[in-house]
Amino acid sequence: MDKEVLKRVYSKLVELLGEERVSVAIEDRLPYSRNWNPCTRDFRALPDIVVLPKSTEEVSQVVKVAYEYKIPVTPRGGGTSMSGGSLARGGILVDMKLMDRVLEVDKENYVVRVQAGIPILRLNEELRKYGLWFPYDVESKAVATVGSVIALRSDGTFNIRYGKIENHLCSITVVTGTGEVVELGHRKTLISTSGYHLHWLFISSEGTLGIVTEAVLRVVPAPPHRDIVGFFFPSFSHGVKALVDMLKRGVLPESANLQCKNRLKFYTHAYRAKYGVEPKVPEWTEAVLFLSFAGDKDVVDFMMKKSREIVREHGGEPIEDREVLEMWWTSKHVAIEPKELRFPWEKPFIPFKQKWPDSQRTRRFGAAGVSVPVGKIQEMYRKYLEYSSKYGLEVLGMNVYFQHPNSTHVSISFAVWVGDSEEEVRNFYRYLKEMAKTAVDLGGSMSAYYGDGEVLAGINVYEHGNALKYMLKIKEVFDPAGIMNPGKKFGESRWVE
Amino acid sequence: MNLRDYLKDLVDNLYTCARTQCGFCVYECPVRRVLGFETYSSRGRMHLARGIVEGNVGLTEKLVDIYFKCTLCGYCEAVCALDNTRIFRNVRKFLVSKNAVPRIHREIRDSIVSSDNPYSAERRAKTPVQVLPPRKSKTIIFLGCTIPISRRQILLSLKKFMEKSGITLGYLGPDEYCCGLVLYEIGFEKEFLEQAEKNIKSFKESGVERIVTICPGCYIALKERYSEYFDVDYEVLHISEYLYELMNKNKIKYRKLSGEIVYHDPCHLTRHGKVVEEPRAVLEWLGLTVLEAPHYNKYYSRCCGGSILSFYPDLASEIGVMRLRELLSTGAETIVSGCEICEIALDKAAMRENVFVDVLDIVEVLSTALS
Repeated sequence: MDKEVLKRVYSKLVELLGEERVSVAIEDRLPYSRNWNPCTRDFRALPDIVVLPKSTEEVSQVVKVAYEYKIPVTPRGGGTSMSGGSLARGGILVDMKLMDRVLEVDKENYVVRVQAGIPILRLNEELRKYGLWFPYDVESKAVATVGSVIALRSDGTFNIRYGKIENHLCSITVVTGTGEVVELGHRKTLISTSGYHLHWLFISSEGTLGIVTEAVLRVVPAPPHRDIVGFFFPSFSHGVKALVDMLKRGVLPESANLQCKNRLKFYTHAYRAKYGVEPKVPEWTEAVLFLSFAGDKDVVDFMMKKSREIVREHGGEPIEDREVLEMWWTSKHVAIEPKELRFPWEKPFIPFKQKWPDSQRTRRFGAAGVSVPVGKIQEMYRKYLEYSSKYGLEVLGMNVYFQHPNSTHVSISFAVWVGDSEEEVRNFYRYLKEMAKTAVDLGGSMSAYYGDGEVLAGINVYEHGNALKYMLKIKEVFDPAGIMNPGKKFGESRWVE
Repeated sequence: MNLRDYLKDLVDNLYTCARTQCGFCVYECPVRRVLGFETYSSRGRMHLARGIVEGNVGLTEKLVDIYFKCTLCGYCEAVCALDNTRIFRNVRKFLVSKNAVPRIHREIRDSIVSSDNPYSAERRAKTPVQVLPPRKSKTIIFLGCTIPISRRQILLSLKKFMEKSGITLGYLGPDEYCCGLVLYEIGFEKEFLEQAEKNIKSFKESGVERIVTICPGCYIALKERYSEYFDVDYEVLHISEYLYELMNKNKIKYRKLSGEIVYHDPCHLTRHGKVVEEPRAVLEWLGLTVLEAPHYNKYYSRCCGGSILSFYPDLASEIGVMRLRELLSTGAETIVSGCEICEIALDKAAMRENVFVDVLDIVEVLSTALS
């Protein structure tokens, strides 16, 4: 940014927020220079200014300044994007984490109003006091904010029962690209046929239309009991058919994950640490299905029993070692929940030995997160093995997340290990591009839980064709100066050739 | 020497953090919760350290401020697998080597060097021989600086405990020196080693085999930090571990107390020292119902800001108030801890909030059960 403009913008922002919540210091900007997407050792994307608003009004004032000077605005929650969604391209980075208040808990109507910078875990700690639960359980919940799960339409553990964010989002307050504050959606209800449902446009909009500052979310009573089962299957198709059959017959899981043998290893490090060996998996296994059920204990017990019967009819076998199930669950879902939010059998992760950093000491987790129709999982899996091998990337494993209520519409993470070198990073994005296109060819989508970000920007024309033109027109309505999170969704990918 | 020389193998940790970017440490960092910018969280400081190593960040006043404002509470380590606080201490050591240290930190170093305590108090103020006459023994109490200078009620309770229980601990009096943990934490390694040497010499000359501390800072210094540099052959117990041992063997006669208290975990005792259950067990044996701060207790306890109270009182006070509110949300009217500095910080927070609450040390609670 031009130095003179920067000076003027800075002093205007200081006037609005005070010196302690505006910074141009490199020491304050550097920690915002990365997301979770694979990059080289020395990669950094720096904003020019970082601001810390505390209210919708303050966000509005900040964006008005940006609009006046036509400078980029990048909203940021936890900074764990896998697509570079909150990487700044200069301009103003808006760290939303001081907007973390619960504004209203409406127990009678099972809705809450929150500021968008509250992390999911923090929200659930607060809701626990009322016996309520926001079941949108993303794995990065310790830092992922409500605003970011709206902006990304992230995956959640319990979405086969509760659905993605659209199933929770009654209404939102947004600041558009001109700084105007608008209420979108339908106050405290999910159900309406009035007007256009503009709040849905903000779902997976990645900050390109404006900044979500508040949200009214539906919440549910916390379940009284939960239990888990796991099954080995000779193929993914066997596992999917068993699950379809369960849904048909009224066995309704609260969570469902179908993964390959390799991916299982990523979640059983606690088992290895304790016993020094891998959990036993039958030779013939290709896929492992984990389900959880929640409700009254007798209902849960019945569903568990019934699921075992159905699985046997489909050539699967239950995992008998309870410890494998529990350790898997710890690693996959519970991870960091405090005791008050766990059922007695749900073990926390081992303090001082959190899985993520421990697993990324030499290489990192990189994933193509796509969706394909359920009948194409097997084929997509073959392509995954083919492309990862083609680009010299070691397979980490594949996990299918069932993300739609009582159905088998899925999001899939095809993960590989990625090193820090330029060549390895380049190869990862080549792999990602092939996976993205294949998913579209198979009738799916190139992005299932991390938006387009900087990674798929431009590449996504393959999926959307001339529809992208209409999307740009919509963006222009909300963001006429094109300042809201530039480089995401539209333009050229910074990463993929 | 550059930062890489100070971090050695720990440089890998910086790149692991950059690769992981999980952010588990970000939101809950007590300093970030007050100051807002991610740079004040563990992940932020890891990024910044990488910036120093790669030559992208200079040694500015701002940078110094960011590293010295960390309370070293270690919450980040409990939710991670990396050596976060060890890295931050090494960054501080590096900053010290470049003379990039805030004035107040230098003053506190000077106070320890000249008066053997961080509070610029007279040397004799920290050796209360009139209350606790020096006495040789294989098992001694190590009083530290804060209790005799700023928290004398604990000293009186300790005296009462010894009189009533008949269990007498030795005390080195003027031969006990400041443990130097503050110096270690700031990064004044040379001065820290001088304090350590003096104490180790005293312990050897007095034939000390077991050392009991009330201050978790002294506990960590004597138990963990000295042994990083010296061969030490004494055993160190926190008073809660010592009382646990005595009560387990029925060596103390006490009357049962009743009521509810909430226990605040001191970071140095719980996260750094891994002493979690003993204080709770002692309080329960005394008949008290021990309440836990919701969500944030034991290894995930939140900091009270005590460790930066002398350096950044305003910031410490904001952190203290947040912790106080959590503790009071249990409904308890008494807070018990195992660290006199936490108790001072929580007392100050209570005063700032105009809340009337008893903040007691485990030794004080015990002494009431002996009357």
